[in-house]
Amino acid sequence: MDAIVLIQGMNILYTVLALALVMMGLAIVMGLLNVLNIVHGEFIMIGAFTAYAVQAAGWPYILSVPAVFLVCGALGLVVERLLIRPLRYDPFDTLLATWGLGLLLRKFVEMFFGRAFRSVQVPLPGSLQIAGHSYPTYRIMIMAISAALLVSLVIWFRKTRTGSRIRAMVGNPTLAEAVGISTVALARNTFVAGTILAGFAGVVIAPLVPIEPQMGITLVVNAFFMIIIGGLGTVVGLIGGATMIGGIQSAVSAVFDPTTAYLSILALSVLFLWRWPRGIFPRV
Amino acid sequence: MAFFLASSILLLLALFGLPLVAGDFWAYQLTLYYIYAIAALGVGLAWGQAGILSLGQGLFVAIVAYLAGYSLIYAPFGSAAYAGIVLAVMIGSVVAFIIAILVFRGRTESGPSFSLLTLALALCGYQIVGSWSSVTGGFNGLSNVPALPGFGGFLDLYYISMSMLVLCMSFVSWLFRAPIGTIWRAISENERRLGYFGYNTARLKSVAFMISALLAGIAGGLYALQQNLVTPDLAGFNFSGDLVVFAAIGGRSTAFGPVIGSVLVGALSSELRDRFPWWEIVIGLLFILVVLRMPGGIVGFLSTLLPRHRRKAGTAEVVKAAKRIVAKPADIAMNKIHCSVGEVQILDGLDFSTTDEKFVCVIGPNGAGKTSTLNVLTGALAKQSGDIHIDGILIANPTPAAIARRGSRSQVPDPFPISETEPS
Repeated sequence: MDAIVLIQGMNILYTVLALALVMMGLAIVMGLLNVLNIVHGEFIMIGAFTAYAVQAAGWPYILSVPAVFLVCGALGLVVERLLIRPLRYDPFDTLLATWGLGLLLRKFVEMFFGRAFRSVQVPLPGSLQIAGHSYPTYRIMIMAISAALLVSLVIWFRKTRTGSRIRAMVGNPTLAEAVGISTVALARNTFVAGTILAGFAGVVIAPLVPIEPQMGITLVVNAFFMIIIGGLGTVVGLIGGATMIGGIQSAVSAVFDPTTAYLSILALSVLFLWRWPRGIFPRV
Repeated sequence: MAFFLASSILLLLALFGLPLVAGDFWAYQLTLYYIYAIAALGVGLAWGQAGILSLGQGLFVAIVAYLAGYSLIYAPFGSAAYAGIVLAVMIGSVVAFIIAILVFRGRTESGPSFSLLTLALALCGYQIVGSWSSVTGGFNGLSNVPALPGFGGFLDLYYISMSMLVLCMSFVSWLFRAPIGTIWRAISENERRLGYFGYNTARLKSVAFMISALLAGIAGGLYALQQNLVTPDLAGFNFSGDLVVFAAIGGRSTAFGPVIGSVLVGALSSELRDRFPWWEIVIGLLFILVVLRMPGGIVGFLSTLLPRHRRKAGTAEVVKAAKRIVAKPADIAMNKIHCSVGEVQILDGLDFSTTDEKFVCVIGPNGAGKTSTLNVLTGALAKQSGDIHIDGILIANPTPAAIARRGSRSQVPDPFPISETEPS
C-alpha cells in the first residue's frame, strides 16, 4: 500500500512539475505581456527538434541547451520584432498572428525533418532508489529542473531589479517609461526569455515524448487552459494552475482513464472561461 | 447594376458548367470545398461583423453532421430524411445560441476568452465523439451514411452544394446590408456604447453566433451526405483552424471572401501540398500578412484596387433602437450602494438622489468615486448591493441596455484614448 501511495504521489508531483516546466514560458509571455502566444507549442517543438538534431550530429545531449538558447532566442527576437511589436502586444491580434506563425513553423520543420516520429535517447537512464522504491532518474532530474526554475522565477520576479522593472511596466507602462524604463526593450527581452524557456522545456521533455511537427498543438492548448484556470500573471497562479490540472489529470487517470481525465480538464477550462475568465489567482 | 447582373449570371453559368468541363474528380473536390466555404462563411460573418471569432466552429459542423448522419441511417426514406437534416441543423443553431447567450450575458468584453472557450468546447466534442465508440463509431467515424432519396450521384451533390452556397452567400450579403449588420459592426467597434443606446448587445451577438452556427450546420449536413462518413476530425483543432484561415485570407468582411478563401486556398492546397511542400508555408505567410497588414483579406485587397467596387459602408439606415427617449428629467435614487473591484472598496453605502427637475453637478477630488457612481448608475460597473430607482421604478438588473431604456445614458465613450495605444 505504501509503495503505491509513494509512487502515485511521485507521479502526481512529476506531472505537476513537468506541466509547470512546459507552461512557464507561456505564463510569462501571456501573464506579463498579454500576448496570447499560441506559437509557444511550436517553440517547444523546435526545442525538441534541436535536441534531436544535436543527437543526430553525434554531439552530447547537454549541448542542446546552448543550441536551443541560440535557436529559440534568435527566433524570439525575430518574432517579437516582426509580429508582436507591430501588433502592439494586443491579445487578440497576437493570438491570430501566432496561430499563423504556428502553421508556418510546423510546415517548415516538416520540410526539413518529415512527418515521422523521432526520438531522443534518455540522457540519464536507470533509476534511483527512493525509500526502497525505484524511480526513473531522468524524471527526478526533470522535477529538480522545474522546481529550481520555479524558485528562481519567483526570486527573479520579486527580488531583482529587472523583476521590479517588469512589474512597473506591467502595472503602468506610461509611468514606467516616464521614470526611465525602456519598456520596448524590456518587453522584447521578456518575450525572448519566454521563447527560450519554451525551447528549453522542449529540450528537457524531448527524451520522453515522440518528436514530430504537430507535437506542440496539444501542449500549447493544455498550457493555455492551465494558465486560464490558474490566473494570469502570477507565479502562484502558474503553480496553482499546474497543480490543479496536473493533480486532476493524474488522479482521474488513475481512477478512470486518460480520456476522462482530459475531458474533465477541458470541462473545467470551459467552466473557468465562462464564469471566471481571470482565473483562481488573478493579478490585482 | 447591369454589370453586376451580367457578372452574376456569368458566374452562375460558370458554376453550373464547371463540373461538365473539369471532370468528375474536380466536381467531387469542389463540392467538398463549397461545403467548407459555407462553414467559413459563418466564421467570417461572426468574426467580420460582430467581432466574435470562433476557434471551434468545427464543433457545430460536427454536431449537425453526426445528427444528420444518424437520421439518414435510421430514417433514410422520403420526407423523413429531409426533416431529419433540417432538425439537425436547427439543433446545432440552438446549441450555439444557448452557449453564446450564457457567455455573453453580463459581460461586455468580447476578447479572446470566447475564442478559447469555443476551442475548448470543440476539443471536448472531439474527445467525447472519439471515445464514445459504441454510439459514434469512435475515431473511425460514422460510416455508410446513405444518400438523400432522389439524389444519388456526386454531380447531384455538386449542384445541391452549389445552390446552398449561393443561397447562403445571398443571405449573408443581405445581412451585411440589413440594419442588423450595421449594428453588429457597431458592436464590434464599441460594445459598451451600443449598450448605452439601449441595444441588448449580448442577445445581438448571440444571434450572430447562432447564424454562423446555422451555416456551419448546413455545411455539416451536406458533408455527411457528400462523404457518406462523419469522423471526429470535424471537431478537431485543424479543421476549425482551416475555417479561420479560409475566412481570414479570403476576407472576412465580405460574403465573397470566405468562399474565395475556401475554394482558392483549400482546394488549391489539397492539390499542391504534396507536389510543392512550400505551398503551405506560403499560406501561413499570407495569413500572417492578413493579420498584420490587410484585414480585408484577398477580397478586401482587390476591392481597394477597384474603386468602383468599393461598398458604401454604413449607409444602411439604423433600425429604431429602444423607444425614442424624450429628454425629461428623471428622478434618480440610489440607496446604500456598495461597489468594490477586487479588494478595493469604491462605494461604501452610497445614498444619492436627484429630484425636482434640477441640474445636478457632482464634484469631488480624484478617486472620490464620481465616475464609479455614474458607472454604477448606467450599469457599466456591477454593484454588490443596494438598489437603484429611476422615476420610482426599481431597476432590478442594471445592464447598460436596461438602464438606457429607462432614460439614463452615459456620454463618456473613453476619456483617456491614449491608454489604448500603449503596449501593456
